[in-house]
Amino acid sequence: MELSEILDIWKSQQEKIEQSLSVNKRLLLENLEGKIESTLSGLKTTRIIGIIFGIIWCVLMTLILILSWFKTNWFFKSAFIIHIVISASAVILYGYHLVLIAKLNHNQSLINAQEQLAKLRLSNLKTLGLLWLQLPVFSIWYMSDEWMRNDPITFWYVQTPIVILQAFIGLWLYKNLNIKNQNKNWFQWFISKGEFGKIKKANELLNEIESLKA
Amino acid sequence: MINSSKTEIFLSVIETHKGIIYKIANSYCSDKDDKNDLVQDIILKLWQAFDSYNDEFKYSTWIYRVALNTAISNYRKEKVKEKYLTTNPGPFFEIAEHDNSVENESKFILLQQFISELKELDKALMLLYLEEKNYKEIAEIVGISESNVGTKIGRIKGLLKKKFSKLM
Repeated sequence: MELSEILDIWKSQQEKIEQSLSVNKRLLLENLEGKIESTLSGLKTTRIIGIIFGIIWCVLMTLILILSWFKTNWFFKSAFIIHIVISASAVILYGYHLVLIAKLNHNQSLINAQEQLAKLRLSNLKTLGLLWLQLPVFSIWYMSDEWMRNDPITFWYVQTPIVILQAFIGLWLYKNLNIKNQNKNWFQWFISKGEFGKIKKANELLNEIESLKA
Repeated sequence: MINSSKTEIFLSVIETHKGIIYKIANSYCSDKDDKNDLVQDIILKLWQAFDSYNDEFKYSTWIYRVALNTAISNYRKEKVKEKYLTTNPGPFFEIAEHDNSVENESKFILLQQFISELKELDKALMLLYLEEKNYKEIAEIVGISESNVGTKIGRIKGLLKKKFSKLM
């Protein structure tokens, strides 16, 4: 079959469809005139929720740190400081994402718009990796010099290896939670099914864009 | 209070170019409800972008860009349902029964099936080719050079011919 025949088939079918297509103007008008408010995309919603809870959490943790400053040891202080710094970094990253989302514009060419959107979706992985970096602090905050003196065996042979292992896992996840590992079984364990689907599609789109640009 | 002349102009644009919106929704969604949802999403995005429409481009170019971007971004199965104040407003487009010759209908269905199997951006290129858009306009919509359009369209034409010659 020649291409011209295929084009003719397409054209004749589309003409028939267009002739039988009608716009429900009344319904359209109702929905344009005030009944549709600004829509919140899934991307925006998760960032806004993350920022609100992140700020509340950081403020709470900072208050606890300040109020307990003269009563707590250096293990507690360092764990809390690391936790607050990483959580605040994630909040700032989400804020930056919101700026990028605001700049997203469907008026743009397909390549520009889809590239921005795909990179935004993939940046979620970076934020997740960052949050895993703080894994060891959850075992550090309750350690103490007294524990070290009174029970050195548990301190050095149980607790310390746990902290080191968590630090290694956190660092490893920070480096390896990226799209190159999307086909590994462990990757899908860390990412929810829904999020994994979006990330996979974003990556496929970026690959398509690269091949189109080439 | 929405400017009524703006609304009238917008409705007139939608009426004139309803075919573009319908074709894109038809190509990117197979499920009827998803098609209706996508049509609504596209029209909403067009309305939101209407004030920033640049008359340097034709309305059709603008609509293709917004509609294709909406369709490609449409992670329908996984995404959180977008919030509208109206609940289930019903389809914005209605389609009456039309006559089809059996032979052409089956070839058309094959063509639609082929399109649905393409990757997202290739689907857009295929649609624009079938709509007989020139390379300049395709380049403006997609955002690649005209020579690149030529290469990609050439590849897609080859795929299309191969697919149909296998099946005929």
